[in-house]
Amino acid sequence: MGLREWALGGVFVSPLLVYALLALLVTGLLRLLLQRVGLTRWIWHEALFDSALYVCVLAAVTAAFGTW
Amino acid sequence: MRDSLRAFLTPTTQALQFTFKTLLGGFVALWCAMRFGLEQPQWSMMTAFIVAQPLSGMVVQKGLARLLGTLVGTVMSVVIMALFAQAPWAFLLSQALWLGLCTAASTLLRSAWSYAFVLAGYTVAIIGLPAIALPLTVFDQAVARCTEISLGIVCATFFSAVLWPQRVERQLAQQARAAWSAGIQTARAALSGEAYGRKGLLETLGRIVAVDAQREHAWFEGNRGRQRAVALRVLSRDLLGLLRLVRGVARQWRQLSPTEADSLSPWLEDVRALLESGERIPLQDAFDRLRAAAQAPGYSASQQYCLERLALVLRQALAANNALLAVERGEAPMQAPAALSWHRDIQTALAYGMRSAVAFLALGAFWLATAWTAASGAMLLAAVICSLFANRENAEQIGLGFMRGILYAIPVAFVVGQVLLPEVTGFPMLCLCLGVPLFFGTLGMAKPAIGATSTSFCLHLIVLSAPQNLMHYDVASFLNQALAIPLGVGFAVLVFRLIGLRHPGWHGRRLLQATLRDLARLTSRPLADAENWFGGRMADRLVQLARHYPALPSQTRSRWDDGIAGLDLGDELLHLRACLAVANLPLGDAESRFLQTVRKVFLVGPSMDRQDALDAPVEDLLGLLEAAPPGIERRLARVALSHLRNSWRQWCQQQGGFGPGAMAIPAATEEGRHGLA
Repeated sequence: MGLREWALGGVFVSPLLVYALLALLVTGLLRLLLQRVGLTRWIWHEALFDSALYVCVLAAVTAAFGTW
Repeated sequence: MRDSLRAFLTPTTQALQFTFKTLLGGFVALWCAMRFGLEQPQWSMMTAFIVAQPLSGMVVQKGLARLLGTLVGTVMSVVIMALFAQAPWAFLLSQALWLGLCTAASTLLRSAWSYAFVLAGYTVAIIGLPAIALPLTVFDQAVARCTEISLGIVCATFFSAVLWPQRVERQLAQQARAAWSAGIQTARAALSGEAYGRKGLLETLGRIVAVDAQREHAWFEGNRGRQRAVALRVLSRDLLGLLRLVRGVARQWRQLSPTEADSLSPWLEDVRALLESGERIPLQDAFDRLRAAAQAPGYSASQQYCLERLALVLRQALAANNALLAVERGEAPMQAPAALSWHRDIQTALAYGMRSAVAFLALGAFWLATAWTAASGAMLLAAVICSLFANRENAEQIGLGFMRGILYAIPVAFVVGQVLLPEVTGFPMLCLCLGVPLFFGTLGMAKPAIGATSTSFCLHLIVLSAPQNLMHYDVASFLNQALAIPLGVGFAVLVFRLIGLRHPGWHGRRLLQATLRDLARLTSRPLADAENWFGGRMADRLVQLARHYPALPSQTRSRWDDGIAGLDLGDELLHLRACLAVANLPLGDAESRFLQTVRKVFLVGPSMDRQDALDAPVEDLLGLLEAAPPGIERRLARVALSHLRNSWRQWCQQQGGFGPGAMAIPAATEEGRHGLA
């Protein structure tokens, strides 16, 4: 997909926007998984953990799709 | 049917009236703004929706606060622009600092006027950020925004005052009666030693505080509203005084032996019945009888003290009844005390301010780094939410409700603004297109449970469809805005979650320190205002402590006990000072020396090894009182002195690590069981 703008019906969409939304979805799924496994109780500051996790996932998603 | 759905499908008459008033105010403001050729007419309409509230006094008050804040913010935005137009970082830093200061001030000021500070804070961002590309236009923008907002306020106020006006001052009388009867019930419960006391005390304090919050709005409803507002200050003082005296009787009652208590219980029952009936002449008669009985030889000293304190309760109840009548009649009594004071904490307020500034700066960095023009919209929204809801208990929930409203508004605004409006011409058709969704939005605003979501829906529908004289339809800018606005709100909610400033332990410690400081200041404060000053602050603190009660069972439990102990000490100190002032005994400077010592002891705070810190000064003053000529006030002062010492001792013992349920001394266990502990 690369780091080029997407053309959606004549509107150019930034790829980072798409990646950001994708990363939000993946982070949500990961959080659910962590909750299911029971690792959530080891987290000291949930909001901080969530933000950090999101940044990591966003970086991973961008790295993965950006180089294709 | 779901409750929120019912608000839209089967609205109450009052909700319909409110909707009609608000829509009319909003559209008239829009029409005027368009007719006068103002730059952004949607601001007038938004203001009319923002200040719309069910009660007319509230609309005037909020409108004035908004106007005042906007004026100050406008001046400040011009100043900042003049200083830093060429230096973006200095510009953002100064704006963030100003926003932080205004947020701090608004959280410090616990009244409806704090809204003015919120406005002063974010108006700078609203005017400054769009003008940064063209700094020379800032003056025009500032004037335009002030004009538009004033127009919106005038229209909203006019329609809320003319159409089906619902006045705060009428509700004030009902709420005052509710507070009075809650106070009387608590007093009765405390006299019978029921365990229900904590809940009753909290409820009464909560009601007194809630009625007092309405007082400012009633000020704007003509002469009678103002008279009622003044009378309400007297009522708060008398109710707080009644609670204080009743708790004093309960403390004295606990010192009686069972036989002594038995012989006094007919009196107690009498007083309880009289409090319930609340009639004037029997109360006065009973006061005289009790005063006479307290002098009678048959009773022991502690019984006499108890009867004397009971008599004071009756006198105070009489005063409270008179104050209630004054509120209901709308006649301000002479010599009203100062208004109820609030708990203030500069450190916490600065922390709230810092949080707003950090949120603003972080998004500012994002704006400068990405050079995304619409990001300034996100900054605005984050600034608004961070300063508006800074010290709310449930700031995150309110923020998410706001977000939900925006998410509903985006598709509706797309249909209205990009699909329907290009097809129509003329103001009536504009009203039709915008009015239908706004009608439902306003119906929701009338229901508190979905108020935040509905208000946000209405405001963002107006912002996103941006009705103007010369409409320009731009899908790209719409999409950019639709992205930036939720981003800003989401970021604000994230900051609320990341920087939580509600740690119960820390909060509790701050409350305790503030209580100690107030106790120390109570030794020198003028007596006339002391009741509302100390009582109001303690009521505020106890309500806050109780809110954290379930959060940390063991610790907050002792925090609550600390709060009550502080209240007890303050009550006895007030009582003592009142008795000494009335008795006018020839004590020389012994009284002021005693108060100085007490002040120092309070400032250090209670601890296990300071139990007898008050013993020596109390003994000295007791000795002097012994030598003074006899009289009722002298006796009452002596009782107050010994209670002061005992309360201090108990508070110190509480610090000793005994759980409040397992107090070492029997008196304290009794207190634990007793209702008002």
